[in-house]
Amino acid sequence: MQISKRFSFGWKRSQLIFASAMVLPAVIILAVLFVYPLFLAVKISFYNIHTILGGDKFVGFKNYIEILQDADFWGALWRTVVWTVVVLAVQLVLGILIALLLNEDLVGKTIARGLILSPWLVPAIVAAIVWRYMFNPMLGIFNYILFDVTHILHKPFMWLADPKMALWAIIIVGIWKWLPFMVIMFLARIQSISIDLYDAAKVDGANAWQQFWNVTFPWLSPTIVVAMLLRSIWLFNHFDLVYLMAYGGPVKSTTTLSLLVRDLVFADMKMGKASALSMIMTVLMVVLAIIYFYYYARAEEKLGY
Amino acid sequence: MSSKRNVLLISIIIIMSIMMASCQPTVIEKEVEVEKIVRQTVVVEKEVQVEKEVEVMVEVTPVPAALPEGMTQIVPFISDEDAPDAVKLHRDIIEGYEAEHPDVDIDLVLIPHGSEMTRRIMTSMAVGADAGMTLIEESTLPDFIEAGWLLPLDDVVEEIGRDRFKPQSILEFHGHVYAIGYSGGTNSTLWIRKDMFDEAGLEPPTTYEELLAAAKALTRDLDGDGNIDVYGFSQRAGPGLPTTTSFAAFLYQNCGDWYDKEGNVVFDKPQVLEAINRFVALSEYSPPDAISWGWGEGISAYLAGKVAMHMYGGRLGNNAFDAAPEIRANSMVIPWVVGENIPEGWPAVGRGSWDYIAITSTVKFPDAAKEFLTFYFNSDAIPRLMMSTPGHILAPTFGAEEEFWALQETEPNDYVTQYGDDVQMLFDIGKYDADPSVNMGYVNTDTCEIKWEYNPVPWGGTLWGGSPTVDAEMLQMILVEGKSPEEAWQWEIDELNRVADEWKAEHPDWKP
Repeated sequence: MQISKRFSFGWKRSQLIFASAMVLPAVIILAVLFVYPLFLAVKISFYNIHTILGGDKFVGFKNYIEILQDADFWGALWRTVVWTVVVLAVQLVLGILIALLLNEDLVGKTIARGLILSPWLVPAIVAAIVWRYMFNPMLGIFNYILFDVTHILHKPFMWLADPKMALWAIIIVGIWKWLPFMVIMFLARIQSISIDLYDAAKVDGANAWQQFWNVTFPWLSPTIVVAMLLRSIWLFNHFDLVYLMAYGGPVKSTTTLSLLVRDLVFADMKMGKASALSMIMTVLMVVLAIIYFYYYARAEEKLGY
Repeated sequence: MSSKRNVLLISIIIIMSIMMASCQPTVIEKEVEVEKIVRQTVVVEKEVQVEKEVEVMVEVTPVPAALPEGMTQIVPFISDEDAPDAVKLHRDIIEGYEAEHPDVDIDLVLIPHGSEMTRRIMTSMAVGADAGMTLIEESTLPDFIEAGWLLPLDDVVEEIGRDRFKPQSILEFHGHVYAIGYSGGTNSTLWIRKDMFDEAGLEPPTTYEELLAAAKALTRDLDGDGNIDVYGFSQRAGPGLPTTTSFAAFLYQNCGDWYDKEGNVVFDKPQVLEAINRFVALSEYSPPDAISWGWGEGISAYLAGKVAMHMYGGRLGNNAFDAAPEIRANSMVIPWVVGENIPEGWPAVGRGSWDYIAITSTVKFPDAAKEFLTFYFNSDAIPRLMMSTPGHILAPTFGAEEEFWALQETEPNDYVTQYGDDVQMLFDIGKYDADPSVNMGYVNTDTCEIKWEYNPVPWGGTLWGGSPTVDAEMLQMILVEGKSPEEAWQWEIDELNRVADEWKAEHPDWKP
């Protein structure tokens, strides 16, 4: 069999067959668990289907049109973007800073590296319950410290009960919960940077900031892009913490796209419409992934890969 | 190289065979009888007799798969009774049953109380998982039955004794029983801090005006910093069913209702606006974060001494007894009166919630499930469950209350010993409660007559089965978004009409 040079990557035929066979089980699993459900979801999105009672009425693009004309969708999209961008940005900056700190030879470094994982280890439901009590305007510790003790606040913050504040309160929890992931990703990459590069920079008279900008950051760039891609997808699709903290309220002020999907399925009983919304979310994520992969390739190129 | 390739090919075949084998679904054979019913319909315009043949699928008890010898029949029992005493009780009952039936394994599956029971069932049924016996919300019953997800339980009820059941504790649809109540709860009681009332020189309120005045008087800034330290009332106004529960009392007691007996919207009657205004007025003396409260936050606020009154069932008293006995000692429970439409001799009117058990149609061993259910109701499970949270759980069967008090004689409960009068009062008040999703037309909004009849709202799941409920959404428009009560009221009228009309359009043959 003639395998074109375009796809052979310079491998022998036997090597290519061997490699293909190795990935075949994963491809089959992917096809069964991802491709088939995806096709099913796409199909459902064109039908009017009651969550419990079923149905098979073809409605074409009606579900998509209704969603795009629904103010709830645009509101949820905006909140999802805010949630994703803010959590990601803060985690990025804090993740790099903490990783740099943990890379230094400080006393208690090992313990600190272990402790930094603890938010990630806590189940979302436990985190949500604890934080909800901490945010409680009358009984919570935050208001107690900020209002009763230090008088920084002139009146108690309503946190999760204030529609303007609720999403920001959840963002705080989101940042806390998954910061360890970023720290671990960046720390691992930082530890792989050769000391020689820093020595060379020092010889050239580079200060700490210049060392970071010209040595650390370029090496971190591919990892940053990967971390951003993964976190963006997870945040964009995230459900459990946002739901458990405020159940989409008050007055839908914390209803993100994933919660809107849930509402469509279980409250409005519109499985078809929920599927359409899921497809819209998928398209947005694919576009985002394409952008990320473009910048990942560029970052790799700069490092000479 | 060729031997390497052969090894590789054989490995792939083995791996794929294992994967394909593990993906095979378990096949359970079911027999379903199909009944043909011939109906005659008359087209009025032309007076022509039309014969309509209708095929009706009747889900009868499935024939279980043949069980290999020595294997156990596993029946899941999905429950959200997660209080430690209730969990222990259920485990004890199951143990006792399994000792007599060693070939049956009742698998108690616990999920957090008041959470995602319905969603759990929907997801299980959608994938054909064995959901066994499960608790069920009444608002979703019509949809579940129409989807064929529940087994009729007529034989179970007959075995237990139909006369034993209170009318509210059996859910029937199209002439068959599909769910049996195992516990009820009243929400027509108000817990008040008697010490705060005495300090302010107030008597326990018996009218709405007295309630509002007391709420206002007991809302205080204790330390003079300009911020309220204690609120006179605590009005749940979060997005979930607790808000509908609170609002129901205002509606019923002001001669209001959502629909009449025929499923027509009566929420547009002027007295409904009065009910809404009363709810909103009382909310002024509630903590601002009550707009996000579910079931538990009000109890926490009451036990922390942050509110002087809270509307709840018996559980608040039990929690106070355990966690804040001095607050329990300074509390009293009274009927919650927020309107004048209370029948003579009744203490109050409000929403009563019942917990029901059903058997899903995907159960692998229906006979075993039904036998256990019969055993459950014929054992002392009900009075013992009532004793796990005295005053909170109402008896679904006649005689269970007497068994409860008999149990108190032989195995006295400290809380009941000390607050037995309150417990009895809670039992008594619960007799007059109704639920909007199963008592359509409970209040005749023209005559204000109240009559309990089982009359389910088929589209109730859409209105009250999710979050926010229709009432919670309406009230939050006023309390959070600042819309006028008239605007919010009109929104709910339109929504009630829309949901009903959509459902009726898809079910033109429906009759209430």
